[in-house]
Amino acid sequence: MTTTLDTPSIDTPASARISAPRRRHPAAPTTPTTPTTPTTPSASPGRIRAAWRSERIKLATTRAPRVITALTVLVGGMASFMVAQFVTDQEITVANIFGFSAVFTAVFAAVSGILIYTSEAEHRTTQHTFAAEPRRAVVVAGKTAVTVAHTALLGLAGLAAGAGGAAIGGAGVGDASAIPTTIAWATGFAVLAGVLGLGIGLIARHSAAAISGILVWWLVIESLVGVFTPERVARFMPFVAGNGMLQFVDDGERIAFDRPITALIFAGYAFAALAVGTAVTTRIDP
Amino acid sequence: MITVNALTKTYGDRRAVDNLSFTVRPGAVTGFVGPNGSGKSTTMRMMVGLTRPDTGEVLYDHTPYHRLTRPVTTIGAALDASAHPGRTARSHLDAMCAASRLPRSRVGDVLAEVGIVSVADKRVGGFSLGMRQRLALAGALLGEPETLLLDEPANGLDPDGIRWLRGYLRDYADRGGAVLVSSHLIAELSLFADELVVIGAGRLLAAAPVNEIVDRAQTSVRVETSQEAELTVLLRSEGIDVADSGQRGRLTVTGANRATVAQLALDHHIRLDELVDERASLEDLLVDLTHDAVEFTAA
Repeated sequence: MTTTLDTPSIDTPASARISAPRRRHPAAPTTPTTPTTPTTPSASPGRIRAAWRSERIKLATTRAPRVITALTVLVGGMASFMVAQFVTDQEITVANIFGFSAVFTAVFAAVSGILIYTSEAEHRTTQHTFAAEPRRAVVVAGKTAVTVAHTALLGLAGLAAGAGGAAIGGAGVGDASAIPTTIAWATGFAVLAGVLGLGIGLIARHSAAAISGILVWWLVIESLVGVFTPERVARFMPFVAGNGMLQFVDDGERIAFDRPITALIFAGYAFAALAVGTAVTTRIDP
Repeated sequence: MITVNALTKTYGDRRAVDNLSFTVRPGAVTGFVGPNGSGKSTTMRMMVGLTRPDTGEVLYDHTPYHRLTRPVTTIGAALDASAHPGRTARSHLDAMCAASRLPRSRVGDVLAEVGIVSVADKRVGGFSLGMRQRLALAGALLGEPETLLLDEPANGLDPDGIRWLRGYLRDYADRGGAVLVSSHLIAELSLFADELVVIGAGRLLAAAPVNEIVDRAQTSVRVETSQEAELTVLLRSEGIDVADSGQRGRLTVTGANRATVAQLALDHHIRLDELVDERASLEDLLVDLTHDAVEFTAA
């Protein structure tokens, strides 16, 4: 909820500690002299940590990430619940259906990755960010680190909701031995989808364009490609590969790649988008 | 000291900033003046690395912005009042603090300093433009910088706020800081600026202390007399310009000072009722300076 302030409340600043301009340099000459070699900024790890801390604060202090997490839990839980309730021709257990939520979670993770940059671009707060840290690649590194952490948590939340939904739907636990593997691959899928989203957000710099673009590609274009091209070609499409990480593919003909290969293909797309996005951010002024 | 050296920026076939050079010295408020579209904001963005110049450079005591170890401790910029509307003022500044590796205690300090501590935990979306301007200034002050760079900071401020800002910036400069402030309120700037940089169509038109610019103003003498026809003939015969002020019995004389006009009138027994020096206002002067560089005018 946005707070509207009927009466602007401006305090009297007289009692505040007054910022004093730093005078670290001796009095400068009035005519320019030959520029000296400037001090190189401090090592990058400190700058990247600072960028990460700043991005973490930004993520934690807006509503969009909380809404996306709530939707992930809701949709993931509902999907597993529906399967547990209404699928009767197969053996349904928590262990074999809780990973279904990962497909939806990956969509939300991609949207989350997009918003991590586009919400800044649209509210013109990038100028504060880039003024504080002129090395834009450092900012992108901080955003990437936050995206990875956030989407990993999102992936785990989605899986937990999937397990909960399945249990509430009446499914038994089943064979738990494959659960850790499913968690690892599903979380990896969410993280890579988030990184892909961040890259696309850096390129598009507009939330609606980036979100609609990625959804149309994912849900429409790849489906059409799947219809009109042989599977040997379609398996190289990004989200076909990404979904392959979950191994829900009906693969009677043994055409689909193994999980590590699908992960490499999807990661290739994700990091290519991030690299292009970084180049765009570095070269084009906000 | 900031040295702006031969900055040029072109968008398509339009040159926004054209070989612009000036300096901003510590201990002074420098007003940055020009009509809309003259390149003020583009110049300021180039000064903090947000826009890449085609040629030229900006040096902070010989160091380019992107080479500064912690830029916000050298220059605090408030180029517009943007902030995420869903974030509180405090969290907006928290994020800026973290990015610049500054202690979070600075957030409380600057919120109090600009007078918005009571709304620190309100969402920025509910702020008036004036409160956003104060928040932007708070952001600029976080690093206790040597230099403040403010683009139209008085926009949206009420008269009290403008007076406070004027006093604040004056005091900041008096304590040794350098302040570069752009404004289209020229009269307002003249109340507290020490120096002016005037640009038009991206080019430097003048860079000098305010007093020096005011002294360039053409002066005229306003004369009130019941013998305006005789006085007009007399002055013109002496090669002095006389303009009818549009009011009966009142003339505007240029090209001669008050003493000359008085002596001539006395010598020819012309009675004068009033004789006053008139100086063009700083606003008039700057309008004249930038007249040929105005891009947007009303029909």
